[in-house]
Amino acid sequence: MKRRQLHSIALMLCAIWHGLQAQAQQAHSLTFNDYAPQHLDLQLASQPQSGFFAFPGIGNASVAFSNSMLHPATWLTQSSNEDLATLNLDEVYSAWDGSNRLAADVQVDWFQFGKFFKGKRSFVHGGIREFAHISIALPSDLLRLPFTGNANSELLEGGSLDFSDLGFKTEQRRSFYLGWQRNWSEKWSTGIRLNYLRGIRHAQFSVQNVGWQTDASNWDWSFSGEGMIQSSGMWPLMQLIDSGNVTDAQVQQIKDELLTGVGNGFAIDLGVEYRIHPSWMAFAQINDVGGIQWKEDVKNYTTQPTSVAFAGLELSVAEDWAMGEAEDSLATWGSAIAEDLEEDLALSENSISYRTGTGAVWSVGTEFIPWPDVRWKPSLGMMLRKRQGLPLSWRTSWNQQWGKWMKTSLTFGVRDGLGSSAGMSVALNAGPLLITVAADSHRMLNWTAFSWQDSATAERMPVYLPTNAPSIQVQLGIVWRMGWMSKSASPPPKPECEPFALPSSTSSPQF
Amino acid sequence: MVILMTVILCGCLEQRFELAEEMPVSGEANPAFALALASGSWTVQDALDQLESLDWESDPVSGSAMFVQPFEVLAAAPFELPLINESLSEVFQLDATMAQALSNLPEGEQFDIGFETTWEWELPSMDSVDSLWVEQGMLSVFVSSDIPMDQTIQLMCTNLYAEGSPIVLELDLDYTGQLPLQQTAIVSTTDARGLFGNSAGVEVLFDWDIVFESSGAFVEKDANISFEVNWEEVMVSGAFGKFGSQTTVDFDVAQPLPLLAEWNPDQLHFADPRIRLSALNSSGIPIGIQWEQFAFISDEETWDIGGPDIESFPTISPATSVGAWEETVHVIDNSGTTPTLTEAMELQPDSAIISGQLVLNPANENSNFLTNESTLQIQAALEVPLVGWGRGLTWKDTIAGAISQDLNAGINPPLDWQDVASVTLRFIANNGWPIGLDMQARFLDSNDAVVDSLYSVSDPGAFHIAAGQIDESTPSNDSSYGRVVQSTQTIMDLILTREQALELLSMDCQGVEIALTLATQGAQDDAQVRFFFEDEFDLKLSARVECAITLEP
Repeated sequence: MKRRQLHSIALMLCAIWHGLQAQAQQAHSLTFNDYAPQHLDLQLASQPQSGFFAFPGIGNASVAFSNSMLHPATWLTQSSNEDLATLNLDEVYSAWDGSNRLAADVQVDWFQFGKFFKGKRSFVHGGIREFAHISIALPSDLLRLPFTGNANSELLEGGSLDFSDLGFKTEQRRSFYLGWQRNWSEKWSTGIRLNYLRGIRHAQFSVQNVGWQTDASNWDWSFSGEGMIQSSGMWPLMQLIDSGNVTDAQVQQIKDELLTGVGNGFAIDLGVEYRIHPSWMAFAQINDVGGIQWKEDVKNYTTQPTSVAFAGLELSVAEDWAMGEAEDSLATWGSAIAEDLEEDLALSENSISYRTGTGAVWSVGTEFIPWPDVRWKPSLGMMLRKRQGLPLSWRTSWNQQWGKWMKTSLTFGVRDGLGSSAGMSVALNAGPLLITVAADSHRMLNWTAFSWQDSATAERMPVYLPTNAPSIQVQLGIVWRMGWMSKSASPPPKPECEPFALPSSTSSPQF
Repeated sequence: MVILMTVILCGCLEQRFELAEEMPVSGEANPAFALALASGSWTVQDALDQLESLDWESDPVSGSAMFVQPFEVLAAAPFELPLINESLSEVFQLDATMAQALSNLPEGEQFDIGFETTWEWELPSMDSVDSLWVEQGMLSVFVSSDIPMDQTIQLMCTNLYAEGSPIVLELDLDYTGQLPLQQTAIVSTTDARGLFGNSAGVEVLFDWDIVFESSGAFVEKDANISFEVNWEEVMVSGAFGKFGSQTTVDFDVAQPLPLLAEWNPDQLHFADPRIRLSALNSSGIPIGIQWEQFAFISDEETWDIGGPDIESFPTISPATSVGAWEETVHVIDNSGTTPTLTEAMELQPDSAIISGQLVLNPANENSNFLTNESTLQIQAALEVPLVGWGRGLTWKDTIAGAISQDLNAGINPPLDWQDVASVTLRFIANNGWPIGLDMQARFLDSNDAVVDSLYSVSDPGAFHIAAGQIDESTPSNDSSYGRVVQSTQTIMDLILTREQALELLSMDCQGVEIALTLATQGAQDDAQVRFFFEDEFDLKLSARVECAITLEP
């Protein structure tokens, strides 16, 4: 119960998710695993162990799922002597308190490379990254409407239902990025990455201040709010979904838009690292500052802020109604109300291009390396990371270097306010290949089997779902390591100035 | 990757649930749904307009709503103008001197004589006649002369005018040796006017002028000219003068009053009923009324109404000029009747009888006039201002049907009464009428016997909508006494709980009798209230269903 309460409280602390931002999904467990080139996304000012070249499509791929809405395993109980599970409605009700979101993100690097320059004083990396996102958010009051109704004063504060959290978003974009990292001194390093963004598809539905209020004394309804739909590059797909058929021209359009996109923009990442002491390092960076201007195949729909009241049928309207035609008259009256509402909403459509932000992320962190000179050096890291519009994420990490062939990180933290979880990352040098595996949520290892019996056939159909994993994030990558041939030691990165031994006046110069 | 995931899955399955449609569900959902159903606003005017057979007006004194039942008492000419058919015979006889003078007149010489006569007769209805308008008539003169001369006779009616000039008749008698000489002259008196200067009767003045032209014949002594004047078929269209005081038109009106026969005086009391008589007189004659009967009647009894309002009925004023109307209004109310009209109404009569006669010029006034278009119209109206009290006024209606089945069908599917904790109908009334409402519902079985009721007797939570607030400090003689000064808001919940519904389901209820009982504010103390057309009653109906849903397989 206490755990469930904490879980509920954590969910309740989620901020209202306005304009759900689609973000690159990196495993936070990679932050301090500098063997993995993927950690550059999280520490832009640091360097990997080696240059690399990524195989197309498998160099860096990540999948992330967010689910704060549906965890059926937490709603059921079944003791060993029961044939069937019991659905607990109270658990369902509690589970839908707070933010309710389903989201999926897929990120794949089609091409990626990284190379040292100037004796490892600087590192240049770049690539082409594909990103896809879909999410839906449902308001708590909407999900719990069958439990509360619109007039349960005990469960509803002020007799009002707030539907402002309702939203849907889908986006596909492609990023062409080039980054440059530089060690300026023993203490300071910086990193910068420029991203040219090509928007492939985008659709977003959001509402503001949407609510349904029932007056406590006379039970009149009032509805208020406004909404917006923005889309670019979605029309042929919508037609395909609606009709199942598209014309050849539309098929060609879909193909062309996959290549050329329907919008473009820029984003920039900046990072700085400061080595306070050989044992202490601190970094700060900001990612994804920029946006995309969606220009083609744009369809936008907006409503005016409106407030509509429903106080029942005015009997003066029904003066001429006949008993036998009451049903038709009511239907006509209802249609008139709907028409009035439509008029109040003043839905407007336009094809004006619009801009969406990529959603800045800032992060700060520190790493303590007690024995910086040993080959199996362990370290402890701590990172705070904040996406725009989401709760703070944090993660602590015990990082262990296992010689030259592997580095691991065991982590624990909270990601985007979706509950605490343990994670890990492994970067394994396997000859010329560097294999990286990372995941931030141990909860994805706990699964529940749901066996549904079909009443017609009596057959059982199993479905497997995580027991209670609000966040699942898995990242994989296989890259080709440059300079993978074994060397006794890699030369350390050269600082800008080397100590110069002045010959004494009594010694002969050596040439 | 798939293999890896499969391996992970197999190693990480921590529990298994068996699901089916009949799986048990614990806990319950308690949603409550509410919505406004309907609302309406009715003024007293709106409510009274539903009684289409009744007329309503605003009381000119207090402004309160007032029931009006008009009826006509009389619409007739107050008096019938006379038809004149009179004749006059005159003989102009020559004396010896005149005869000799005419005999001595050389042939062809003329001799002119003139004289005046008066033609009088009385009009029985008029004490004096000042003038008459004549619509039709023929004035004729027949002359017969045995004077052997050519004679030209001119008769001028000096006070009878046609087209503004005195009426003149001329006759020419030519002597050709034969006697008597005879001639007739006729003139139409259509649209003629006679001016008689307030004489006691009609007095027509004639000026005769006779011109004799000698033929040289001898005129015998005692020769004469005889005249016969006839004025026939004379329709008088207007008489001016003084009409004698006399009774004329009888009237007898029986006005049904079905409404009064139906109400219960123990439940309804009208404080200020009245009968308004309105007389429109276009004649120039004051008219009085001599009552024979002024009474309320039923099949079995007659209640005569007396009192100063009846006995001292005012004279109906005359019009001031031809073509004008003069209105006289007289109100008969409780202050001038015995028994009072309120008392008479409470006897539940079914009709009112008003009979009597008109009395022309009861005070013998001068300067009357009457034309053939003069009319006296007497309209009466029973006016009952909605002032008084009402109590125990009950309206009942029975809704027949399989109530038990309907109760279940109302929510099933998808719910049944196990899922519904209660259904609430909320009545929100803003009552600006001075009348309150109680409601009771009784549930009937197939034999129309009461098996249950919504409220028990004297239940403090029984359905009641309070009347509007009245300022009791207003003096009783103030026209606003009993008027609602502030609407009263009542929120009344009619709750049908699951237990009640299940009980009804088990009773096989076949009908519901709805009884509405109305009572004015303070009716138990006979306190009076006033209804005004603009008094407003707002009612809003909303519904709420509280559920306790348990998903039993």
